[in-house]
Amino acid sequence: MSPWAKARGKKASDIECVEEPDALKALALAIEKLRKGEADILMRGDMAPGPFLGIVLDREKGLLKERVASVVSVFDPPSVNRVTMVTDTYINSFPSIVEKVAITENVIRLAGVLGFATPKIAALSAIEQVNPAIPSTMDAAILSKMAERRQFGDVVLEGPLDIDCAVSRRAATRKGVHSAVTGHGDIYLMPNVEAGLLMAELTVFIGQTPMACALMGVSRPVVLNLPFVPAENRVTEIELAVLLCGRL
Amino acid sequence: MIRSFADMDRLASQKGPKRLVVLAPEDEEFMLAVRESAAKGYTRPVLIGDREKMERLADQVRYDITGAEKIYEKNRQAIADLGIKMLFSGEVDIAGKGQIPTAYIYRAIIREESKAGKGKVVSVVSLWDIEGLDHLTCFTDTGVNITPDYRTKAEIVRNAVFLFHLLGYPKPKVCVLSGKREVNGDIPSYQDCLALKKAAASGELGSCEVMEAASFLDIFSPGRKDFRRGDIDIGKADFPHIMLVPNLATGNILVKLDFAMKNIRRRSLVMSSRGPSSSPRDRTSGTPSSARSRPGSPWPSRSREVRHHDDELRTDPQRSKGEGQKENGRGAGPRRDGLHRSLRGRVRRYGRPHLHRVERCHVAVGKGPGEEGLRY
Repeated sequence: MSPWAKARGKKASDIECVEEPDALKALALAIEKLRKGEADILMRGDMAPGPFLGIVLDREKGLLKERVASVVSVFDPPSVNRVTMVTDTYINSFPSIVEKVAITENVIRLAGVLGFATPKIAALSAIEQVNPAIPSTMDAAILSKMAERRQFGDVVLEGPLDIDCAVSRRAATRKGVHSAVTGHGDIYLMPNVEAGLLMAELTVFIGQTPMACALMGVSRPVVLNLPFVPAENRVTEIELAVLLCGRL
Repeated sequence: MIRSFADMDRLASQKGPKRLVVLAPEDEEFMLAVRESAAKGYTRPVLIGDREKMERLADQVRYDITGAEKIYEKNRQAIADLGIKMLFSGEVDIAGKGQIPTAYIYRAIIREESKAGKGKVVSVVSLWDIEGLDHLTCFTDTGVNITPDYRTKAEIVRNAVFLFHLLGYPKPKVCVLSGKREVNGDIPSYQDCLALKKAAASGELGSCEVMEAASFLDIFSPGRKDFRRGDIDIGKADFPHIMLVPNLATGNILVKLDFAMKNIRRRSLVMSSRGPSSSPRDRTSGTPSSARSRPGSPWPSRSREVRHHDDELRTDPQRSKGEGQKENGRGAGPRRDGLHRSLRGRVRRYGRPHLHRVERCHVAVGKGPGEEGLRY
């Protein structure tokens, strides 16, 4: 027990400590505890994200449950009275349409946990028109059609949308885009991880917006502690994981 | 050195008047900006657009356009084509975008650039004036090149470096942004980042420095495991002048995030062999970018390694309709080249741009690469 914990009246029995100096073995031990139901949430500590995710996202040894795993960055913009989700911001570099379908299903699951009954989803690209030269516009159009046929359940998904159309109904109307999503998006699907990661970083660093991340597509909640998550929001990430317990 | 848009505004008024062709000034906000720039004396506008709309809006904003040169045209692509032809032929110094899709302008510029045969990569530089930052910064390319390869990225950097030299920054810092993470190995943009660092070190990109940082995390929290939002101060960070984005989608999304942030003003310029040639409306003030003519500056001539082409941009229903009309050859409908019949004489004149007459159109004031000192 640390002096800090003792000073606050904590008891050694409150915290279970298992000594394992080897990080990989410690992770394997932790995953085993999750599988046995002896633990509910996995949290990355000092281990580098690469090797950590390498094991966690292994279908046999790790916790991968769905077709792909993806990271959802959950923002709390001060000007909006609800949280906003952006995905994928870390895992899939240049996802195919198959992977984008899985990423979409993952974020819809999180939206359900966060209480969005009919989430409005914007599939972003560089432009709002379908153009075969820009594959992400084609992917967005396919996702939009799938949503129209209710293949994602009770959601409204519109794409392709450029960010102007996604965030401003006025801009969308001017460009001839009419949708319930424009100006009221709950979820932003990014065309690739470069756009996702850099958008998340820019929004945190220059926009000063609170943000926490959730790993989706796994069987148990995992707190990744990614380096672009502000220290102030680490607790929020644990809270997010608590909400996800039993809902994955 | 131009540190903010306010500096540009002040200095441009000392440099005018320049001929500004305004493409479809059919929006009240933009007509106001044209009126303002003309009133300040740094532009002499040529208005191209729908007669009824232009006159109505001019009346609304109390702008007397009777003395201004006006060309009446309704077809959006024809407006863009004509204005950009005027720019490339040297008849005007600046082209300003009004109520017209940006893709139309890009398409016209790419065509003219191709005709000019200089092998110049066309790219868009979007400047941000961020409160608390003591210099301008920009994202590029935010409008034309979909997935630029290394050589195209080098050209895009050269375009932006050239612009920053003009703005008075003798050795701008360049951050080659990448989505590199600790998972899934290196991605192409990071390989390009490493290659561009070497190219910059050997002087291939002009006078500039490519930074170690390849992300905002690297810029704001280099080498640290943890950071607190409350501790972030952009004024104290080693923030770059130029941010090269890995692809068009990323650039387009990042640059428009100013909507979610306080105290950022944005303006964009298209970089071509004719110089910066488009000045979309500023979100905050509605004032068009200022520009000046400056003959003799050496744009580097490079081999063409561009993946963009106009058909890679938006599809254009209006243009398709226009082309359908021209097939029957009746009335005053758009012609094969997308231009109105009444403009045929003018088009003939601009068919082959007189390159010896072309002067470059530069933003505000400053000097070209390799030149020292400022002239304002």
